[in-house]
Amino acid sequence: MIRIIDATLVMLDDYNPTKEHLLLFCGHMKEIGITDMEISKYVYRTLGELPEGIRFYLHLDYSDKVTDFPGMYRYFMHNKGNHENIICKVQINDVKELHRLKMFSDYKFIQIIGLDDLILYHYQNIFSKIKQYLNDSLIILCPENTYHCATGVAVEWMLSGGKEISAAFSGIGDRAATEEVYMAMNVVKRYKPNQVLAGMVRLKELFEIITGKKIPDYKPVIGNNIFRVESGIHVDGLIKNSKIYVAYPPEKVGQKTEIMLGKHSGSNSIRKKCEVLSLNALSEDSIKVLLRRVRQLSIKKHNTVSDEEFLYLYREVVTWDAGKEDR
Amino acid sequence: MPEKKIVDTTLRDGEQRPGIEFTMADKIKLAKLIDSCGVYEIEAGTSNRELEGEGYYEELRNNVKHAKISLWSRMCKEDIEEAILCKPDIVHIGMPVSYVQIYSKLKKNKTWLHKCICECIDRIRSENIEVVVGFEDASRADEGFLIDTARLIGERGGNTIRIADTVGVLIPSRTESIINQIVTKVGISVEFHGHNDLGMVVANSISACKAGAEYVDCTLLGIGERSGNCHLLEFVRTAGRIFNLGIDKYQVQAAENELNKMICEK
Repeated sequence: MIRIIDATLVMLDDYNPTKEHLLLFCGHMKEIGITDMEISKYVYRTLGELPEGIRFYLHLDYSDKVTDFPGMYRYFMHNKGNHENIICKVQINDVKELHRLKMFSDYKFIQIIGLDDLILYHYQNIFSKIKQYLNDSLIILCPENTYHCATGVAVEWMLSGGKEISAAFSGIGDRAATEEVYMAMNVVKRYKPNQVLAGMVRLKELFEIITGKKIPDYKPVIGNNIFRVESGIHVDGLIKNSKIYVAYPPEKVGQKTEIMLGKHSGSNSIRKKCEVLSLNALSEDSIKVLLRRVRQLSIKKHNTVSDEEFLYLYREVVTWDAGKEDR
Repeated sequence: MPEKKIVDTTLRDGEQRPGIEFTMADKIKLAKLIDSCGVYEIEAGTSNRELEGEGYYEELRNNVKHAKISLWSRMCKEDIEEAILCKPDIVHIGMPVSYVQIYSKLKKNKTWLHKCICECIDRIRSENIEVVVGFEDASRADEGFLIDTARLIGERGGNTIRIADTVGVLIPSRTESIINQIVTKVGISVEFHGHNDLGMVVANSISACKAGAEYVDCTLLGIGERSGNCHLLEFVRTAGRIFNLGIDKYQVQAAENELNKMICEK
């Protein structure tokens, strides 16, 4: 049994999320099947009564007393002693510092943060070494993303027998991105704590409202434009079999395929667009003319051709075609 | 440190991102900047001269001083003839290898595929042009078929196999395993072409190099279809710690700034 623990609610204090925002965020996470969440003291206080069905892990400072914060599943503390319900956070910046883990060999719960450069080495051997140093401890790996490999490290940890990882939505806080780890495990190991993942879109929208920052359009799994297709070859493939050019159906994460017209479109893209816009089918000659005009316009405007522009070009070609018959 | 070579595909696969529509002048400008970064090869476009613009490849040759110039072609006789007319240093032939691509997209079989790729290689090699065969959707293909096909290509005079994670489903360990099998069992040069659908393209590209891939495909700003390709600067900053890539990071930054400007000016 693997477990993805989401740490987003430890990273949002600077944005002062409201109680409503926090409750919604927890609800959407639960909806996609993430039921373990790390929270900050700010979030703990703002939430007041905690929503049901989620195991909360509270991050405390060294001087805090666990008894002042009741109701938590576990508590995170930096280098704190070996106590019941306390997960000891240990920062290991790179593999050269790995030997430090020996000091924690009798701890019950350990969270290892860092290991940004792990992918550059024989990471499978290093995973074995970590498990060997920490004997029977429950290890939560929290790879950091300085070298853009945190998701890869998190996924490989779980595939090598690691049980728990910590990640954050969209990778905020320099973490592995929860949605990437989730979908990678879904694609590779059929990990599916919940079948309905459309909540990913709602999570993204809420995250944007809370932080005031737009998620990049091409962000894996949650970007607005990742299922847009322009290339003629790919559109042709998608028409023949929707599985040809996608890792998973867009609908699975609440999105849909959108066929765009531009420089790289082919005849089938034109046919498909006519169908989508309920336009009359064109002759082969007219499709060729229309395709050429679509390509010319997109190069001229350095962008894709909108539906309105396509309709204008379509009417021009239909008129040209009718005139040809008259002649 | 072991040496690895960068193939920049901003002007071919990068341009596949909807909304990135370069003019010929844009491509020449970017090619000069990419050349100054120290990449081994620039995959500059396709064999479709109507799309690329008349005289594009000649103009490119006059402006690119160091990198080899390659172009991408479908695995069909007409496109290969067009590719030869463009006089590139290298032709990349796209060869679908997963069953879903062979049977659903091409609607052909493996025997047809082997016959066709041999004909394409023979024709290109007869013009003394290098051949890279791109295994499209290699990540979802049968490994035995990949190895047999790679052997056939090597025997026929193909120079390199490009392992393409076309839909971006690879993870680092699986990438390492596929590349390692081809390198050790076939002994042909291998290139890796990743996509970032699951956020692992840098990790996968590094894993490919560790397993013996000589070439890695990257794009400026990581542009490309869906979630994009391997971001050149991110790859260089990470892989540059254990591999000699011969890339000038400051020039990459300058090229990315220019591309950003082009995208924002639309």
